[in-house]
Amino acid sequence: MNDGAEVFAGGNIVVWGRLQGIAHAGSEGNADARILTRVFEASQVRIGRKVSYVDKDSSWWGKSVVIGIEDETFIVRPLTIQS
Amino acid sequence: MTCRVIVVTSGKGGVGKTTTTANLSVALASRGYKVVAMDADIGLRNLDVVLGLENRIVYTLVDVVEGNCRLLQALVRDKRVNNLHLLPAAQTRTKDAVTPEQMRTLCDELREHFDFVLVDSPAGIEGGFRNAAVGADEALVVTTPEVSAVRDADRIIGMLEAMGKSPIRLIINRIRPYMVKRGDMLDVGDVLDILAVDLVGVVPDDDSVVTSTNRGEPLTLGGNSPASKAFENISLRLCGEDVPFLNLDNPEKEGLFGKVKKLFGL
Repeated sequence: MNDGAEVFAGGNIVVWGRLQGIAHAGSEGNADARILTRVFEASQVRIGRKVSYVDKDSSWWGKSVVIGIEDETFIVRPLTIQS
Repeated sequence: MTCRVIVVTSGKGGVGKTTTTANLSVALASRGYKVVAMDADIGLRNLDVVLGLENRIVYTLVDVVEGNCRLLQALVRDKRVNNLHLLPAAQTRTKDAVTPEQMRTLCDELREHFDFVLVDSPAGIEGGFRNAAVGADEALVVTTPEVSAVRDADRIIGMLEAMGKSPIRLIINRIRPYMVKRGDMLDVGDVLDILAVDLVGVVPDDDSVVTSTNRGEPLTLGGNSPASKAFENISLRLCGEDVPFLNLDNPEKEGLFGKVKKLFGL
């Protein structure tokens, strides 16, 4: 998903490649929605009614991550894939 | 002061409308005016990138028009320059997402809060251009010294006149003094012979425009490049100041010797 693209989903969003552009999970207001991506390179993510800005210097940049909201704040965790 | 809504347009694409809008917005805001740079190029937005504000966009012009948010919520405030705001275009919609009436209402709402609204128009003469121009009082027509761009500018000037925009002023962008000197490029006089409007600025071709665009840092934020100076001067002329035009004769050949001569006032 390239820069300038936008994905909106009522539920979760899974990007099985590089996530640039804007992803908005839970776009109807569902704060429990999550965003999963193999390569996290988005400068902005949205979940439910919240927006977060991401700096390119962030330690998560380029990593495989799961993003969700817990206690009203964005939480990023490493994405682990078990086959 | 009463707000001035100015559309920046050209007819032909790629002549520098967005660069002009970005640099003039920054220059005017730096002088203390409250400025909105509005991207009317719905579906092909660029002004956000040139201003370096793309990752801070949440709502767009279309969201405002459709009532998904309030106007002031959609404005992205520039953290580098006080008083500068961007009203971004939607990226995933088309020009048909708004009507001329909605654009006029939007511009009128902005008038209540700001001194200048600069509207970056899409290329072309169709709906997108009309939407961009409909709410404006004045127009800045950008052209390059090429016959194709000048012809399109002529056409657009006619349409702006028919829409009652006044004044309509011309910016000649990307002049290369050495080519003009060799007679290989239209000069300012040639362009003005064809286009019957007032000239408000001449911007030299300048490599720093490319780097500033890629970095999202308009030249008028700081720096001393020739193009930056030209845009600064245009912003002053827009405010009614009488600023002489830059001498574009061999700016690069001036070199050390020229600077020394200047130092001694020669």
